[in-house]
Amino acid sequence: MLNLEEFHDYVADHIKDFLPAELQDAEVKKHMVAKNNDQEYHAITIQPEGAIVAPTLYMETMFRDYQNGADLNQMMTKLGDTIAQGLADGKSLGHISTDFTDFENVKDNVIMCLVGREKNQKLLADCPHTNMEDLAIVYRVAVNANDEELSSILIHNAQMEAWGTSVEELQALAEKNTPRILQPTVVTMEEALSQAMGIPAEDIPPSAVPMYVISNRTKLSGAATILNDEVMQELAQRMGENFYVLPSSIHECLAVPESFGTPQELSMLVQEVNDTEVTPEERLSDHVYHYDAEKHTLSLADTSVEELQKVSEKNENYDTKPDQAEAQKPRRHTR
Amino acid sequence: MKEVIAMDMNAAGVLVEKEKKPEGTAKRLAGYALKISKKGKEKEHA
Repeated sequence: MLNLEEFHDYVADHIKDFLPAELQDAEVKKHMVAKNNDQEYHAITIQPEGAIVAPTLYMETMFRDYQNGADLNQMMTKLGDTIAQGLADGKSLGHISTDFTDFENVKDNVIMCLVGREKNQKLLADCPHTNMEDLAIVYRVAVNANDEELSSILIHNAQMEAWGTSVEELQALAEKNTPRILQPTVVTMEEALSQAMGIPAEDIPPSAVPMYVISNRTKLSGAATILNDEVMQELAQRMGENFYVLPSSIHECLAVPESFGTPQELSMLVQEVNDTEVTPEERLSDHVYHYDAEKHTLSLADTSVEELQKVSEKNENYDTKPDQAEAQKPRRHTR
Repeated sequence: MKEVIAMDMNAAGVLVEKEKKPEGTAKRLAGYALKISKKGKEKEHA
């Protein structure tokens, strides 16, 4: 049985045996790709001769299947088919390399996503971002967004500089574009479970505690919807009181009425679910936020950035600028 | 083996990340629903 490193080597060394004749001159690059929460993935990129678009495939899911007894030969055959299909589909992305150099071409597609600050230090050092308590807003260019998938490009510092733009401009564009492209959603927990499990809502036992799921139509990178003050105001009206926000994952957040419990109780619950049900790449935060409808503010409820900095082993994990110690005002978005 | 192999596209050095609907959403939400409901019942009986 191969370990993950050996599996990565094996796929890179043998994939050409499973590719069609026209791809035998393709270059196979073996490398690591950093994703959310500084999680690194084993990747191979297949670059056909003269092509500007190349599929990058990740080994982790395939390796899990291999460990669970999947036939390696069948996996490689499937992988070869996927690469050929990916190259055919990817032809439509050929325009990106030219479009991406001109800010005018991309500015209407700049969107925002939320990540945790502490576990994304490497990523944040290289990407324009705006701090929001223990979270950071990063910016992406949406290439394709529909109800099933989201294709996007993370904006790095070098790209922002080449465009001659600023974090402030990216933030303003993202506030305008994100609701239009990703479309915020707020549904009850019962509705969300019904959609996620594919069963009728009436088959989900109703909860005694009102719980709402805040996300977007793609259900991908939907946690940033908590920064949309219009959505938060509507939810406060629906609940009839201020509420706590639980960072379920980078894809969605939950809201419960403030009368439900203390932030400390809720924070323990978030940590339990993060430890048992959320993949490391999808974790957003272990902390709870309070939305004050009158003040239009969203702020850490169970701790503060200063407290987190004190307990952090690395002092550089949180750069506490004076304005970030205060409650943050979600911006009003244009729908 | 899963039908979907995790794949992004590299377009002239720019990584286009393709995300499909996350598989763990139901499990994650169910985890919260159960724990919050349980806490709610405990509070009712307290």
